[in-house]
Amino acid sequence: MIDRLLFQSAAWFVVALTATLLAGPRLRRTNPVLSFGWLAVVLGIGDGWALLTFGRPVEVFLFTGLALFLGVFWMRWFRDWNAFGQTAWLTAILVTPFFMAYGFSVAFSIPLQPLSFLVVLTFFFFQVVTSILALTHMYENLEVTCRVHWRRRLLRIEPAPDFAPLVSLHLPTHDEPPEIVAETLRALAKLDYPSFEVLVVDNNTPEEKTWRPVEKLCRELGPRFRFLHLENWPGYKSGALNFALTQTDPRAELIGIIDADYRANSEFLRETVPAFTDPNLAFIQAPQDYRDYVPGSWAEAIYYSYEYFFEVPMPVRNEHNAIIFSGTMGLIRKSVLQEIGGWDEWCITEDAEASLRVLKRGYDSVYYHRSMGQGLMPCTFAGLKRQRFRWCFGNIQILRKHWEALMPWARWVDPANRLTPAQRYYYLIGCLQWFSDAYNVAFLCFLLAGGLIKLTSASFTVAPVTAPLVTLSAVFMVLNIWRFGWVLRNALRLSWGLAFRSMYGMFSVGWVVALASFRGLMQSRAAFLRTPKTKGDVPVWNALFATQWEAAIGIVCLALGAAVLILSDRSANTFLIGGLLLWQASIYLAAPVYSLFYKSCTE
Amino acid sequence: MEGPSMDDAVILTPEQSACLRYESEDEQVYFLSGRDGTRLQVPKNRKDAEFVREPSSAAFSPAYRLLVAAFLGLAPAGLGTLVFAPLAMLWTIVIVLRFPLIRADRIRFAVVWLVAAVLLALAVPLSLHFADRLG
Repeated sequence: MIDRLLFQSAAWFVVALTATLLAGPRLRRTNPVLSFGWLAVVLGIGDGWALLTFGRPVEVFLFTGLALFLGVFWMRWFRDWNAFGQTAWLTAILVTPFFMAYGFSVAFSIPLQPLSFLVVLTFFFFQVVTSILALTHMYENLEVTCRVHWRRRLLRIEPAPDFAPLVSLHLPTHDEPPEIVAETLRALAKLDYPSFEVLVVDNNTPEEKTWRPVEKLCRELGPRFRFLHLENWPGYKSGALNFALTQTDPRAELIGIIDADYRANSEFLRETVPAFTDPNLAFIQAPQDYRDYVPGSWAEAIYYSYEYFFEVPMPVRNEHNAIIFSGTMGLIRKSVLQEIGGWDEWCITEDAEASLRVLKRGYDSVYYHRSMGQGLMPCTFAGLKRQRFRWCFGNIQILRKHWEALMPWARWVDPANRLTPAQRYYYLIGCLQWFSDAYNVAFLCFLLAGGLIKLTSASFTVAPVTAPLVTLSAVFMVLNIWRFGWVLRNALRLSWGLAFRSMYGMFSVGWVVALASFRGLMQSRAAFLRTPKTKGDVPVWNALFATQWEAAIGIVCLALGAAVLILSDRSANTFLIGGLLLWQASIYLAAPVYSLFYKSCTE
Repeated sequence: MEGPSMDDAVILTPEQSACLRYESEDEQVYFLSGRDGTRLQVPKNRKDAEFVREPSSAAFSPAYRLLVAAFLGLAPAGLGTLVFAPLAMLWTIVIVLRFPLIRADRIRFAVVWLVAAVLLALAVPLSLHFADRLG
């Protein structure tokens, strides 16, 4: 019976998701009749196929009745989504447990050696966790593309001519090229806002010749610009920012963070400060944007992989007052920062960590969906990997420190915790999604084992293989990749080619993210790795050496995949294992390719 | 704003701040030295960070870690769960015997037992099935 319910729900899901991927974002209105009608059409198509092939009428109609019943509640719950999004999400929720249950029942019903049984169950465990993570990604994708009514989206802030509190802009630097900092300071000098100060906090820069020119420029730019040079300073960037807080003009009401390489637009403060007329607003965040890529280059693909976060998860999180403060191009109320005890010097993504503590106190946050300044991307792929490592590690530090505050029982443990269920969900998922790449590594291990077994014809099973599992796995995988490209295309308005290259840009750092997740679980502290922004050519050998592990894994996958496809029998199982190995090879080999061709920081 | 240190900011002159060396700090103040050897004290101007947990709640950390191990232990036919879930429960009993429990800790105690019980309920049939295959 489980297999029939799986096929029926899978048919609904394939129809609903395919239609959404083809036409979902074009429907810009909500209508309960339309929603229910579309759900009925999708269920009807799936049921028709079921009745003509495998289905038993009573089962088919009962299951359809249940889906319609759930659909009524679903459409009320997701009333701001269009009909395509609602139905795709409902069918995804229905098919996932049946897919898991079917896999589970197969594992139990086929004869397996005890060791093989253990391995199969371990595989199944990873599959369950990965399916849940995939659902969270899908939810985000559907929300950003199929949501019609945005209740908190902020594209323009109402000006408040009489409201101009003093803003203290903190610019932390460490061993930054002075010409880059100079450009940042000159842009700040042009800010169109009456009352602000700029504190350049240089921490632990070893060479005096690096920071002296910046100090000199601050003097030249006038009394608004102050320079602090700190030696032997603990706490990396957070330590420096905490000291900057002590040197902030006591009259300042807002603190802004500007990275050393960010060229702020002149209207940055004029446009964003009026949001603070809302007394409960603690921080506002504008997107991190970049300026140093050439259209059509590999750097452009990486640029859009950065933009993904600010075009997909951030707008979605903003709807639920659950954004993160990502530091640069953000403003935070000084009194709130003081109230939470400043920046956490233990965490290497101190900005995101602080935002969680702020929201825990019941304050509001808002994402201003407009680029207010542009920075520099890491100049090399090695720098990109280093930055991604820090982000992932920092998020796992947040998870380790605050996980209890994100649990359903958090309010009972700490009544002062004012995080809403949605805020807890987004912060928890935001941290857990970093483990997706680690799960991919785990799957790769199973896949490699499966490939070797296939080649040697050993009588050992690592994953149960039946025709429905092979077919559905392949179909779901194709739909997932399509969905990823689709959301890049729609949310970032990219061509298919650029969406594809951006997708691979994200995949190319998967290995380092997986390593950071493992390290984050094993150790609690890590050094703050500054992202180098120095221009210069990278020798080919260095570029390849920076991705030696990814290249080695990719070559192994490629060789094994090709061997399986060429040497094994012509079964569906062979094509699935061989195909998946080649797919994994493409993911891992993307790293050396991007490392060779990615070059940012245009002259 | 509460806290004594938030009202008495010491703003350094440009000459002083041009080169500062960290010496030490306590909960309220940074102790610094200038390039010419002058000693400076700068109030932190913010509340104490609330990074440290209460002693009894920190005592629950091992129980939580055992619970995570019990969850991961579901993968090999629940065998890991059979080991770690009872250990997590046992640990909470040790905490009860050693610390006077506040309300939050009583909730933590209940959570550990509830989650461990659910994990065990999943693990036992899996393990029995595995034992059948061994037998």
